[in-house]
Amino acid sequence: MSTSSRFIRVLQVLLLSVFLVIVGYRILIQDVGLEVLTPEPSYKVTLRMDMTPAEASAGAPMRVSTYVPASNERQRVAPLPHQTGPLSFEVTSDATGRRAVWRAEAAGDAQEVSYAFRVWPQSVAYQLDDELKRPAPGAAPPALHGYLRETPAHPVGTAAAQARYERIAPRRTDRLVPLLQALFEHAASVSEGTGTAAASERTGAPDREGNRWLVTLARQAHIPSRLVGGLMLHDGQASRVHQWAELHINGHWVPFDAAHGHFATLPASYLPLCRGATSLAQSSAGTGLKYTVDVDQSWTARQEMERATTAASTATPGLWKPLTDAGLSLDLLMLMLLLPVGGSMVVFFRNVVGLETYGTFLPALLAVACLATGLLWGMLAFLIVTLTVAVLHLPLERAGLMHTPRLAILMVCVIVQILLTALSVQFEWVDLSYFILFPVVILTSTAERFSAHLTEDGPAKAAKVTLMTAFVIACSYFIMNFSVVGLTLLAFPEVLLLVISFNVWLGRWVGIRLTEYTRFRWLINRHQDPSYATETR
Amino acid sequence: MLQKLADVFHRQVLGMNRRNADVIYRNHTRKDFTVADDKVVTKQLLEPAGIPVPQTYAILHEIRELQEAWERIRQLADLVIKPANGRAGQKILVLKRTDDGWETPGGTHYSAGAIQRHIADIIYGTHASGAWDRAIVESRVVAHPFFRAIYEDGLPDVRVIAYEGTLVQAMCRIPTAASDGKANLHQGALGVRIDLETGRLGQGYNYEQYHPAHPDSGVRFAGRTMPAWDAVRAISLDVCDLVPLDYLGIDIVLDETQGPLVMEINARPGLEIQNVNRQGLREQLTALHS
Ligand SMILES: Nc1ncnc2c1ncn2[C@@H]1O[C@H](COP(=O)(O)OP(=O)(O)O)[C@@H](O)[C@H]1O
Ligand SMILES: [Mg+2]
Repeated sequence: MSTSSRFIRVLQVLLLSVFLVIVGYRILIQDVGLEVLTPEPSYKVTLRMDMTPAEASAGAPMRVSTYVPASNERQRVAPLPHQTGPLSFEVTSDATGRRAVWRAEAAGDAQEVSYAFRVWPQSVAYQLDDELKRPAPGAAPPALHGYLRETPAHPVGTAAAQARYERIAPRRTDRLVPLLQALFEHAASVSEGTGTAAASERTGAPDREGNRWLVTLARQAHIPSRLVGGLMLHDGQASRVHQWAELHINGHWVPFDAAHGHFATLPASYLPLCRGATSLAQSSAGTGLKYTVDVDQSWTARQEMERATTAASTATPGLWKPLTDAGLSLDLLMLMLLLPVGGSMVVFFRNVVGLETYGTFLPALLAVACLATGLLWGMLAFLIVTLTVAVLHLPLERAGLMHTPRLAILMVCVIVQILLTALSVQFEWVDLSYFILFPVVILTSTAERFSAHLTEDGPAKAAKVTLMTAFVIACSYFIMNFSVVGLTLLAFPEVLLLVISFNVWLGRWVGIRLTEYTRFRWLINRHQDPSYATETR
Repeated sequence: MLQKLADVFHRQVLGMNRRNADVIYRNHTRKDFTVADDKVVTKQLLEPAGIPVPQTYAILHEIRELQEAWERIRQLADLVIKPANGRAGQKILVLKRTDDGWETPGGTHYSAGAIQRHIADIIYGTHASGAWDRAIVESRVVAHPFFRAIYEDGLPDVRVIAYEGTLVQAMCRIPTAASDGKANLHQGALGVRIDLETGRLGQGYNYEQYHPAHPDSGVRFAGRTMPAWDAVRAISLDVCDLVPLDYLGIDIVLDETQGPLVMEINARPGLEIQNVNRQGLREQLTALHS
């Protein structure tokens, strides 16, 4: 064994053991939990209202409102910028919930307003104790008496309700859970009966009937109960307005949805907005209202949630605090930690798979830029830049300009091109400097590389390398975009030791690259080729 | 079949990774490579040793030397201008005298000003390094009639691969219409096998198939024997003695009057020659090294 391969072996063992010691120390002694890595869904929700004042009400005051969620034990809500147009805006609260209200002195033209927020909901499940007894009449505290009363939606105490209750409530037991199950089953069957497509079409509120009856019958059994209105969140525009029930049991408001079989549980996708049988958005008389919900779902880990509120996370007690205190965002920090991972991916694609790319770190940098801007926009920018360079290359070369000034001209054109694209496509600029400067720097160096390839290898080869580069960018993007990868790096930056070790291995690997199997396929049948044999003898 | 594949790819074929790690960069310092990478250094090494190279008219290190050198350059009928640190034929200008200036083989006219700008462009920097470079002005090599009979355009060259002082494989690269007169395989030139012992040409390879005749002119070359093959071999062996590198690609052109001239030395010659000769380099290098 040569000294250098002995050295490599020692190095690898060293890297791995240092890694294990650090990780072991942090997990066993510092008690850093792995649960910080579990991703959870979060939803970016936009409630949008289109108002069209009727002719007759022109000039009269106009008002539109919608219920909006608040943070509580099961959900964290972070408001996002909302859109009010020329209307005044405020948020009010009452017994039914929080409401965003827009007002105008005099109704004018059609208006669009919206309210946006990001929510991290959790599913909840209640364990109901079998020993619980049915509540006695009058046992509820006075504050809850309102939730036992007869209302237009809940005909408590009427002959019909009474008869229905008598029919389904189990006799011979004073326990609560069997009663709840019976009521729930009945409500579910009601939902099934009315929840047909036709009924949903007509009422605009599918399977609302079952939960309404669940509340009515629970009140009949002296259990304080109410309807809850909210959204069933789905990615895209498929979210639905829905109503379910809450029963006050043993001091808790316990959720039930008979329409979808959720007994004392609530999935994470349910977003409660208001209490009572009111509609989610309201407008003053004479104003037409169209209510749409846009949802953008993403998977983020718990740490993200932490991050939204506090700079230092529980997973890395104090680890990054000096940096975040100095103003470095965790997002940026994560991108920096991801860069070597992306770089290693590129090395892998070059040395093991055998693809050609523009440089080693350029594709990794571009993939990281895509993380900030989204893959689509990143790829678009990459293609626009290469196209710009491809179109300008020949005229500039024909003009007999020297190489370096030519690059400067290219740079101007590329930047103008990117800005034009940015203007013509409407983006949500969260932070313009962050979203645009970083990729522009990288893209101009892409332009330089690409122009060099065009000169050295010609357009066909350059186009091929461009495609392979785009492919490698996309692959690195997908790996780095797994939030687990980034979070693992944030929580356990010692993983970078593994990255080094992987590259040490790659650096010593002298095997045949995947693409070389086709490249040198001609050698497989060298002796069988008759023409060859005759030519050379 | 699998046995065969394993044999070809794990014993015969030299892959890029092994070439880089085990063949090129083993046992060498950065300085050894400048002999091959810098054409000025190459010439300064070969010329005094009596190895034939195209005649050097001028080497320009700085832009202020241009004015004085120009007085000599303008007298020349034919000339070639190239960067010391170029690759893939980048920034190489081949010029012939006309009544009112110069022109390239492709017919593009060059005025005195355009030539001076080209020299300045070379000195001000290349793609490869971005650093300053030097411009070489040398005599123009004219293809030997042997090759002109096969294909009229461009300048074919012979590539010899040497390892630890032994010649291992050889091919010649003949321009085609697709390669636009260039003798570069990946630009479309034909790589033609040369039998090391006899100098006989074999089939020509262009990534897609093997040709016994030139695809554009139709002239059959397979079976013909290179002129001055013994001289090419002798020159290659002399180069091996002079250059401090184990693994070398030596590019030799055949001038119609001067015969074989060393055009450049390559420290990282491509691996495509294995396809041209249908023979893996790895088994040959292993045999030589043991
Ligand atoms: N002195 C010369 N006479 C004629 N053609 C030349 C001369 N020097 C270079 N060329 C042309 O340029 C090509 C590349 O030259 P070369 O010295 O091999 O540089 P590179 O390192 O860029 O390949 C040659 O194949 C040949 O066609
Ligand atoms: Mg060359």
